[in-house]
This record gives sequence, C-alpha cells and structure tokens, in this order.
Amino acid sequence: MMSNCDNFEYLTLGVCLDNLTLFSKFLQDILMKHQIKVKQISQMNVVLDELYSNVVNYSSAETFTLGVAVDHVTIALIMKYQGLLFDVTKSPEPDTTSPLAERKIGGLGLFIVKNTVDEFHYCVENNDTNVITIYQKVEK
Amino acid sequence: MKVQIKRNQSELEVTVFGSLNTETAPILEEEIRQKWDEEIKSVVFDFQDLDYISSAGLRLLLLLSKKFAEPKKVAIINIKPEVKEVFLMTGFDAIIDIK
Repeated sequence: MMSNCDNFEYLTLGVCLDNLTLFSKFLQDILMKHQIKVKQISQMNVVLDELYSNVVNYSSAETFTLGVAVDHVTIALIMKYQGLLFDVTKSPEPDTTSPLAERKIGGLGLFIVKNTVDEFHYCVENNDTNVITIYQKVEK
Repeated sequence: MKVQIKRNQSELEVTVFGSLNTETAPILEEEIRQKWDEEIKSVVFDFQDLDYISSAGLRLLLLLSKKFAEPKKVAIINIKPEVKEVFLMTGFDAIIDIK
C-alpha cells in the first residue's frame, strides 16, 4: 500500500503498562479527529495493545514512541523502541485449531495484528532501535 | 473498564463495559475469582458495551473455559461484529459459545 501520510504526530513515554491508556487515548484522539469509523478505531486499539504489551513484557526498552498519521486513504502507525531487537513480523503461527484441553494462548497477539492490518513492517534503525510500521486502509 | 457480575443459580453473568485489554483483563480476572466457587457450571459474558478485546482478554476466556474442561461452557451474548471478528480469526468460536 502506498501512503503519502506525512502529518505524523508523536508521543514518547516510558515503557510501563500504565502508559497504555495514554498511548491509546493519543491514538484514539487522532483517529477521531480524522473521523475514522468507531469499528476501525477499535481495531487499531487492539493492534496498539498487542504490540505495546509485547514491548512492556519482552523488550526491556525504557521508552516507546508512537507516531500516528492519517490521510484520506491510509492510517499509518510508527512504533520505535530500543531494548531487545526482535522482528515481530516473524513470530511463529499460533495454535488456533486444537481442542480446548490442548489450546495454548501464546502468539495470538501478533497473529491478530498480522490478520487485522493491511501492511506490517519491521526494521532496525541505527543498529539499536526496533521500528514497526503499519498501514491500514481507511474504511469509508 | 467497568464490570457487573451477577450470580444466577449455577451461572455467572458478567457484563463488561469498555475494553478488555492488557490492562483491564487482569482486573476482570480478579473480580471473577472473588465471585468464583465450585458450584458455578457456566459463565455468560454480555459484550453489548465491549468496545474491543485483545489477546489478554482471550487468554482470560480460555482459562475460564479450561476450568470447565469442556468447550462452550463459556458463552457470549450481544457481541459486536468487530469483536466477533477477533474470535473467528483466532478459532475461539470453537471453544466459546457465541450466541
């Protein structure tokens, strides 16, 4: 998906679970300002929740930056954090078919992200910073 | 998130308002734990006012389902289409009764 989004707004905060609410409000306010549908705001909130909770639980990063941009066709998110370098787009497929007794929860979060957004990219910047970029087509 | 929990004989009725995510799922888990006893045979969640659910919420539903050791003892009513999508995507519709 080509995106010409260049109106990014950024929020940088310390990495702790409590700050999820602030990142979520930041995201939600920008999406509402651009009159994105409630359904799509919910989806983007899930995406943020899954990726940010991964950062809190596994990265050892100290700060997290969320960038959000919207134009008439695309929602773009950029997430930057240091700590452990890990390509979140290459997580193994989770178990979605086993019977109840054998069902495991692991890996569902990133699976949900992959299956929700149109584009999900990862790269390392300056040898020490994880950068996740997401594009989602605006629903009319 | 706000939650209302009612006991109806052997069934627990749980109404969730807001979002069920990494931050709120442990709070709901604790609220349910406080109301829990061995006489409970099923749980029904009313998701009419649930805006979204993440994998942290799914984890809680899976843990509850495993307590009953058989599928569909945990049910959901009044689910919104965007929330239902997450259940279908993850195969949770096979273990949770979505009414």
